[in-house]
Amino acid sequence: MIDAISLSLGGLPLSRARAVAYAPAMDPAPEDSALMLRYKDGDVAAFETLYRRHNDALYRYLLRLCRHRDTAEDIFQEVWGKIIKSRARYRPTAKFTTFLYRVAHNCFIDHIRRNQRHQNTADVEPDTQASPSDEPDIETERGLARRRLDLALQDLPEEQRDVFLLHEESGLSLDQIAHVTGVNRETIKSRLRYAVKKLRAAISEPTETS
Amino acid sequence: MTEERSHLDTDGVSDPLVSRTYRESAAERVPDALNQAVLRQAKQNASSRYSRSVIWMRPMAWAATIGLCLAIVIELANLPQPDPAMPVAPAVETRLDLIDAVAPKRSETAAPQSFEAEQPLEQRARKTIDAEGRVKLLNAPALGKTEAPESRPEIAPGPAPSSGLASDADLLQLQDSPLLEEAEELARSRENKDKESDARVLGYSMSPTAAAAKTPVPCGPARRAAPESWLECIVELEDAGLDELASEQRELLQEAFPDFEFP
Repeated sequence: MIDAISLSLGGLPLSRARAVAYAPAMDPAPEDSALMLRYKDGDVAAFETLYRRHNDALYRYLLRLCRHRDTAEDIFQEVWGKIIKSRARYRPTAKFTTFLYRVAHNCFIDHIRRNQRHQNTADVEPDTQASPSDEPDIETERGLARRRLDLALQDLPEEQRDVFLLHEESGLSLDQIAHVTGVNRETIKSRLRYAVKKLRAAISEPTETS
Repeated sequence: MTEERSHLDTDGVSDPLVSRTYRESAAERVPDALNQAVLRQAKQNASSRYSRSVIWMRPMAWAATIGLCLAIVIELANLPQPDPAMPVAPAVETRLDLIDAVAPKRSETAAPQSFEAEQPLEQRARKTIDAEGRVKLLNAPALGKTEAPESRPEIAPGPAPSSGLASDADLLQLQDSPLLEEAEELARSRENKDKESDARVLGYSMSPTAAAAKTPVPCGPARRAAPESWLECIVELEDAGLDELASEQRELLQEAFPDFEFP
């Protein structure tokens, strides 16, 4: 909880901080559910709060999952459209984040099925902007690490990339990721382990290889 | 601490360095146009939800109510109406009900009228029998002035319709009897005087025979003057099937003439 606050105070967006913080005390699920219920009753401001809370994380998840900006934006809009239309049937039985990313995951799967010509080439350039506090040497080193990680992320198998992005962006637990993807927990754990291992290897590569 | 917790939550699968590097890398934000599009969609749907429910629910409720009312009205209209020409068997409240049942309700020459339109006149012309067995009209203001003296019978026979209670032979006997002739004259004279007022009230004209049909057929004072004529009247009533009335007249005859021996 303290880390989450310090992260948000340190200039990072709150959604990012929440994605990192897994403390139950910071669990926004009840609040998200309450906002969704308020929107169900016609409160548009509640939806806007909910949307602002999750929009960037979901966008990044879809952007890196699809690797095409236009496709990611289309799916992003489709996901929120489904959330909006399903508000009348919404029941706060599960965490809203789980619900949101499950819809997003299914939309992505549907998109792949609709477009069998799913391209393997990516048009998303990694964000190589360094944080202002970095020293020049560290900045260069980290910048290279980020670039290598992005390249490695694009090379990951789709299932592993999906699990890693869900883990990083949504802040869901393995069980919740398993619920989102419809795969059992051990499989999710295995996929995440492989993904992290590959990404770690990519980050730790010697500088001359890049 | 967070990274340690992240490790715990993922069973030690996640890597703090990878997570930190990823978070530094992933800084994309949703384009403003996309944000506006989603929020606009949310606003439109939120506003249309209630309007849609109003649009659907209220007319549906009204249509259901109107349909239900129409169904009830149609069902009531299809119920069998009581036939005006077919007198309903009375619950035998009074002897007069029996008389009304036997006597014709209306003549064939009467103008076509609805059963409901004729009801007020019949109600005005409700009759009763006093202690002496004479018939009186109740609630008949139009008939009040022309009320016949008590010495005269208020009998109003008419053409015999198809009655369910009296046979044709009985009715023929009634028509041929002098009792009916006397009552017919009385009814005719009364009807001539009442016709105008009735027509004013009800908006239609009524034939004399139809009005005469409202009066019953008891034994009048003229016939009760002598026990023999009274007995004849009683026999006529018995022949007409009015046994209850006949037995009552017979009791009255015994009271009036205790010395008279019945044959």
